Amino acid sequence: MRATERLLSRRRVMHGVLQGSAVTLALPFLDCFLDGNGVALADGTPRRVRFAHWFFGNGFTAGKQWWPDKTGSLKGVTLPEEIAPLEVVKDKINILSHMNVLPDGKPNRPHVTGWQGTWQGTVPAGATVSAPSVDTMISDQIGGGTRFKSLGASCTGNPGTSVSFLDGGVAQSNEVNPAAMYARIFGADFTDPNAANFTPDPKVMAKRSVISALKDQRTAVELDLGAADRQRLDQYFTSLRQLEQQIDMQLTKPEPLQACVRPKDNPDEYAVSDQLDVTIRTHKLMGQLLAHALLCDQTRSIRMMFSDSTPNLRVAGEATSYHTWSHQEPLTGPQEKCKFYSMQTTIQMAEFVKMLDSFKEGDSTLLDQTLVVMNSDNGLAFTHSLSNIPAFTAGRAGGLLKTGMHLDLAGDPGTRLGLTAMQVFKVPINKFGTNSMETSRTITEIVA
Amino acid sequence: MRKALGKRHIGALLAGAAISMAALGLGVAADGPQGELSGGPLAMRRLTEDQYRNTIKDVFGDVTLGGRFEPDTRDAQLIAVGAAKATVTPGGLEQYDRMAMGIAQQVVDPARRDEYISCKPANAKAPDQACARAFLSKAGRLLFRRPLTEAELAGELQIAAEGATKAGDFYYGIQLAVTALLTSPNFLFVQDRAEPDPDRAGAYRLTAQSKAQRLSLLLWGSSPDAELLRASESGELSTSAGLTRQVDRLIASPRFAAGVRAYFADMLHFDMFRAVSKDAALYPNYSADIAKQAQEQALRTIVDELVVRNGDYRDIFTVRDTQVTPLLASAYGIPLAGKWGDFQQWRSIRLPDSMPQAGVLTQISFAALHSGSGKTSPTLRGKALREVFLCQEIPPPPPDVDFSKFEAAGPSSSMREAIEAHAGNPACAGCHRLMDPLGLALENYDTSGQFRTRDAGKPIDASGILDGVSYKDASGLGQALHDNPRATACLTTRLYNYAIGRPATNGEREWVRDQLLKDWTASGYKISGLMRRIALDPGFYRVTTDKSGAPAS
Repeated sequence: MRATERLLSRRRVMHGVLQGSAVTLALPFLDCFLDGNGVALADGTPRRVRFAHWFFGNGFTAGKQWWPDKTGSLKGVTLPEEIAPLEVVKDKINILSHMNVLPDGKPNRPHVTGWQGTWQGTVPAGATVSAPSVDTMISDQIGGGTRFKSLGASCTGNPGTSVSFLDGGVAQSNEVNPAAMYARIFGADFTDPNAANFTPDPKVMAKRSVISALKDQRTAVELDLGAADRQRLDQYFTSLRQLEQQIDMQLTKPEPLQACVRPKDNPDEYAVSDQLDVTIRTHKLMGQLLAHALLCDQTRSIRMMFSDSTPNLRVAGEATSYHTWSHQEPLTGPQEKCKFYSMQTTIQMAEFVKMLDSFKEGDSTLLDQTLVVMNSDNGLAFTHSLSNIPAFTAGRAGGLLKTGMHLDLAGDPGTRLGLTAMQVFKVPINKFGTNSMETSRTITEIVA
Repeated sequence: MRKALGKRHIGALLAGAAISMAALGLGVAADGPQGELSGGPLAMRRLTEDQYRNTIKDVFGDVTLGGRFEPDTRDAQLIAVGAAKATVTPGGLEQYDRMAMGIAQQVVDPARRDEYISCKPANAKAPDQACARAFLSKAGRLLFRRPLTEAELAGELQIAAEGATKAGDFYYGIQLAVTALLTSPNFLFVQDRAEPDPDRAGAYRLTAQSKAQRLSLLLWGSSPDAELLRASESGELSTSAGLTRQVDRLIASPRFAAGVRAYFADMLHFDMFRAVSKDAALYPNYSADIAKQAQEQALRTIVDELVVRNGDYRDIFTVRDTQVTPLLASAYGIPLAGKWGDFQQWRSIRLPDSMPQAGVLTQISFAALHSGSGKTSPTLRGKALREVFLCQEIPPPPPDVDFSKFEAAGPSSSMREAIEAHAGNPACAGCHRLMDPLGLALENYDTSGQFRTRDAGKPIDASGILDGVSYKDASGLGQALHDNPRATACLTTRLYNYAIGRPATNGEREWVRDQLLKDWTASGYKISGLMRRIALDPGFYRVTTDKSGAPAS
């Protein structure tokens, strides 16, 4: 479970860091993190730092190692074959190798335990974890003033696949269809911050009364409920607050945002699927839409499932999928088929990073203002290994992070990455995870 | 620790079948007197997509639903049970709101609003409390499955008035008020409520309103109609004669077919079709239309057999009477005589004996749903057969499987050869022995559901054994399932869980096993008889108590 503190005090942070490892103290930085709304640095500089989670299934292959030999700066380092597509963005990313999930003897549920341990901080004895995922805790922290606390896309066409969980372990589903995503973000309810005129729509104003009436039903509807059912209704009323906020935002003239441009064309409808070329097409369209949503400050937290956990990506006309190949190509061989798919994945990872970097925002880029965490479910898919689960970060979150490094985490719990990401966004937390996945050790090497 | 767990799993599997305790009914003693249905805790379920759709159709007729539903969750193999754990996320509420606005807009559409709103406002540009009250109290009662309280109605009227004033349009006010009804937790969540049971001191039973909604969700897959609500409000539903009258009315209604459809769509996991795709180059005949029509075919076959003909449940595994469209007929290779309309026109047919297909297992829906995009999966198909029709849970793979011992079959292997390679690995064999042989019986049906006789150039061997009964092919497997007592025992357990919207308690499971199954067997396995038997048992409405003596939840 997460350990929520009221706020991090200097003393508390110092205590946590020093008890962890001998790392560079990040306190000067932590003190100058964002203001309470996450919209400005303490010196008043307007910032809208953003978070993106980019997930891919199946890890990497058993052939040559995917991580560089050398740790520290990536300058002058040639990236290994499977992550070579990231070469063009290597000064904008960090490579995190040898992060593990430690199950403490609990079952390794193939393709599930890996992301549960890393992203929800717990390896459960049963099937599910009753805790929010890292992305949710971040979006709760930074998304308060936006229309969508978080927006998620799944590129393989399956809305049921998600690694994002709300309080109580409630799964957040993803949009699978770019046309639907467009309608949701940039449809009739979108208020263009750069429009010349702004007139609040009286019809929208009247809709406030709907929210009031629904709120008024709370006491009666919760009467006599058990704790679990009450919690489910609490989630409903939390969701209602977002709906209320969306209405309020439609009624408030937004601040102009120079970088915000409403995409002109609603993407065509097409049959989304896990056929590789279709998934790549969806990834590109979804990426563009989500980037525009960030630029227009519709959200500050996005989720992109490039492939599912247990990815059934498949080249058109081929009967066997990536996941099947990952259990059929012997570990002792070159695993050429699997490598093909893992390299397609890193190509798209690089495309995503480049795409965020292509959008200018003032004197920097959208990527500069974002922390992207990119990780997987397994180290080695063949054995469903929980060791050396690949992870990367990209972007500098408005100068809060350093990039261009390879860090060897030497078997540490993967929760260190989530903890660090949360602390970057000032989530009031000084440790994360349970049992052997519990950590209070920030990855300070990547903190600016 | 991990090894011990793994061994125990495998051991259990090798000993026979991985049948859950629930499926066997190996519970502790019943909570109530011997032979009586004891009831269980209160549940709160989120309306499933099917229940939402059916309710909207029953209340507002033919309206279009925009937006998408948050995926339903499945528990104990059923969405209807997963609904007792489901909540509403921000994204989910946004979609409900979008759908609600769309439905409400159609309700107040000038071309249609007189169908719904019988009164006329004195001034169409201003609020009219009397007219709004008349309409909203009626619609609200159907959507909340009970009369609105005065406070709720006042809230609705306030919305209507504000909307009408701000937009200068009475009907916009109504649109907003309907939106509020459709996004209310009172509509989206179906709550069981308890009251003291006058026949049993210190015990509880469902309130008449909760009883009505439980009945309509079971028998219609929808919300109660005005007549059922009247019966619940008048006290009629609390009498044995009144309950019987209402149950028989619901079963005799055309909506009963929708209720049976809703159950089987849930049991057959048709919601999973949202993630099914097939390789267009390898399976050019498969399309989104085929997928949709294949589901419809299965449900039409079942409803025709079990509702229209009032047939034996077991016959769904062997039935040769079905319905097809020209598109499906072409996929099955069925020659169509006579004149046909468009590709969506349905026609009843009896499959000739020369065709290998018989029963739902050999239909496109089952074969396509439980397969990969590029090839079949005897493992997935076998797993589904065990879990869906026999209530035998297959546990997830044990943690310590060493896949490096798995020897992949060569690329030219048939599916049977590839699968048999699985069986060569002891760590895999335990589970796969339960799944794969059953799935291999369907190998004559490719991943798109098309019949074939060869795989990888080799003749397909679809033979096998189920619980000691040998079969030669999929229709033989259908017959074996038809004759297998586990299949009927499974349906009683699953349908009972569906009816109560939560997993049965030990006491309820015992009653299902000892009483319900016996009665159903004696009645010839009619689905309407099974549902009626459940619905008329007083124990179906009993509520157990917690340690403090209050109704359990």
